[in-house]
Amino acid sequence: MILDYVAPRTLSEACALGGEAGAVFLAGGTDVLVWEADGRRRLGRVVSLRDLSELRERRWDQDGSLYLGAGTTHDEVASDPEIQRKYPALAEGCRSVGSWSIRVAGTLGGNVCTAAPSADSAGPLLVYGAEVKVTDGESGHSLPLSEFYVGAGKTVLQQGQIVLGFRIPDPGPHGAAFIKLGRRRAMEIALVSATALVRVDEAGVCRDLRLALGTAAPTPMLVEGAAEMAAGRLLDDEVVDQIAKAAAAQARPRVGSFRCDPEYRRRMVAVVAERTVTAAWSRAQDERRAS
Amino acid sequence: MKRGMNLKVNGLVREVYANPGETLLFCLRERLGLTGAKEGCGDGECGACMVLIDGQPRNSCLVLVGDVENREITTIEGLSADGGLTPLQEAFVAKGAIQCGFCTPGLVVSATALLSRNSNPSEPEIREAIAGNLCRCTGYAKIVEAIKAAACGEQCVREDGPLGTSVARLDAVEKVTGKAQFGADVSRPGQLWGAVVRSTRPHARIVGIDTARALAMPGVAAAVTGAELTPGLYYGVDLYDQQVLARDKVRHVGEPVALVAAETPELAAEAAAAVEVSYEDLPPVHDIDVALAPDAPLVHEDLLKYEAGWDAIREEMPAPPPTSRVAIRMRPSPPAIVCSPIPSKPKSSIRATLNRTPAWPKPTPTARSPSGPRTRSLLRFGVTCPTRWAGP
Repeated sequence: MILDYVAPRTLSEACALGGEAGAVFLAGGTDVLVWEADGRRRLGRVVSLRDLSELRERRWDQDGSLYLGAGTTHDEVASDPEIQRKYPALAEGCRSVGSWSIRVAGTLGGNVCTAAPSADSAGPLLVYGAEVKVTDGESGHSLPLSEFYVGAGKTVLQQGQIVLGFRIPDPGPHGAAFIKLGRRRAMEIALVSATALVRVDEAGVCRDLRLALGTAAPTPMLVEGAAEMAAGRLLDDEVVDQIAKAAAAQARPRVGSFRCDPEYRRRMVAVVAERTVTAAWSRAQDERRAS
Repeated sequence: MKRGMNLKVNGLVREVYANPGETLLFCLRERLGLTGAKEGCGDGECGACMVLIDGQPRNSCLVLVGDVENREITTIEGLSADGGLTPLQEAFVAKGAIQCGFCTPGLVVSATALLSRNSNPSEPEIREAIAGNLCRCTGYAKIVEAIKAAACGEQCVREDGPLGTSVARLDAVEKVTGKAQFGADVSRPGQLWGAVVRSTRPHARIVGIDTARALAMPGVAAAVTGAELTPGLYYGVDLYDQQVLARDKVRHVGEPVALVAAETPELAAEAAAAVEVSYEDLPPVHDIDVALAPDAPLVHEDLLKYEAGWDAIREEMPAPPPTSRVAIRMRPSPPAIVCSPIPSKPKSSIRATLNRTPAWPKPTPTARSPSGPRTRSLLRFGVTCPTRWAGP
């Protein structure tokens, strides 16, 4: 039972209360309350974000980018027709989280701040080039999501800082795919996952590739050099195989994981990388032909 | 810190005196007497605690009361307005979608939310909507059928009739409305609340347990350790190998070491935290390779003295004279260990024992096969050397 629960009315109050050592912020509770239930982490003060409406902001900006408040739930992302159309991999990633009731509660902010390498929204947010807006209650700043993670379960957030939301630039026409590997199709933590985004030019030649991996390293990661390997080329089997091998080589799977050994993970990285890049490429071509 | 709170539950504003940091599940069950929502796992995986908040399905074990003070909460008890059954509930009853009934309230709540969002769901959509509800009994087929029937507006009538009629379970209505009482749903005035102190070590000798601080707390009625229980009190299913509370040593993280009883659940939790246990770590046995090593530590040193879980077999077996050898023999599925003294035991009574377990195939002597099923089952119980079958 949580004995120190507070529900501040303003952001600055929240950051002040959350600044105490051991304090945690509570959004959807699908991580924090599980830690409490399992007794795995001793929780200090719990600062509920229930009254901070700025965390639930959602808006499409003039430049076509999307701003999603940190309190946006996975269900809201997955079922928004505009997001499905414009950021399909993000909708897919969020749809794969847990179960319906977990998606209704869990938030993007929570998913990113818990910073598990298996987070299903992380890969899509990375390939879409999301920026994280952070505040300490007084002033805010933004940074790319790729610079937000420091290690397994660790981010650059200081005690008392809150993620306000995510700005996701307009992706333009593209093909994207998300694959989450696991034993089940629901209530599963990704054994390994991949998110790919492909852009092609008018001739159908690849002009950009972003490839992110989940549960392949201590943090969600982007595969380096993916764009260079793919740019200017047609993504045939040979090229995709090259990219998949590079992804597997960059993976740093966890040793001592009870779910599988690192060699299996590395091999599965190659498999999901190959499948997502192939699917994203094919969708990019379909998109080009349709427009 | 408990305070007065107003919660809107099933259309009524209810005043409760509760901790804002307690779960909604706890508050519904223990303070409002709405025991329809169940605690199956307590951490959001099983869905037995499902309620609707503003019409959306939520695991109430992952909701804090403080967070839902102004929200519309609907529980299984609140689904039917006039005390009758909703069409969905009728469908569950008529289609045989209910067995033990523990998952039923959670499933009905999830399905209710689905049908209000999507009045004509496809089967994949139904399965996705209930993916967060675990059912151990039914295999989900009848549940999906019931949800589809309700969605189609099928008139689900409870049949009655002669042998061969598909009748509703006697207790289906209580189960589908959340009124059926399971063990944890029962409470009595003046009852105490218990909390368990559990081992934090995987394998350790218990050096000492100090309950003085816990007992000194006002409102704490008792603190019990294994040393105070009847010695040799073991229980189990196929083999009596578990102790109610650990004595002398603990064999896994989480093994109960002490129980406290207090006047409120918060006091019980505080009292449990005040019990001090000191351990002397023993080398843990984590996997088969460690267990197979010749010098592997024994998790159950007294394994050969454990009794088997069938009264019939225990009656059959006289106490072995000191000179007889003891063999371990196993039934492949499910694995079990039975101690049988041989060869002094008359052959006829061993055969009698065998006859009671018709699924028991003739054992083949395979003395030294580390990969044999017999050896694997032995290793589950911490015995490290392969044994030889020496029976008839």
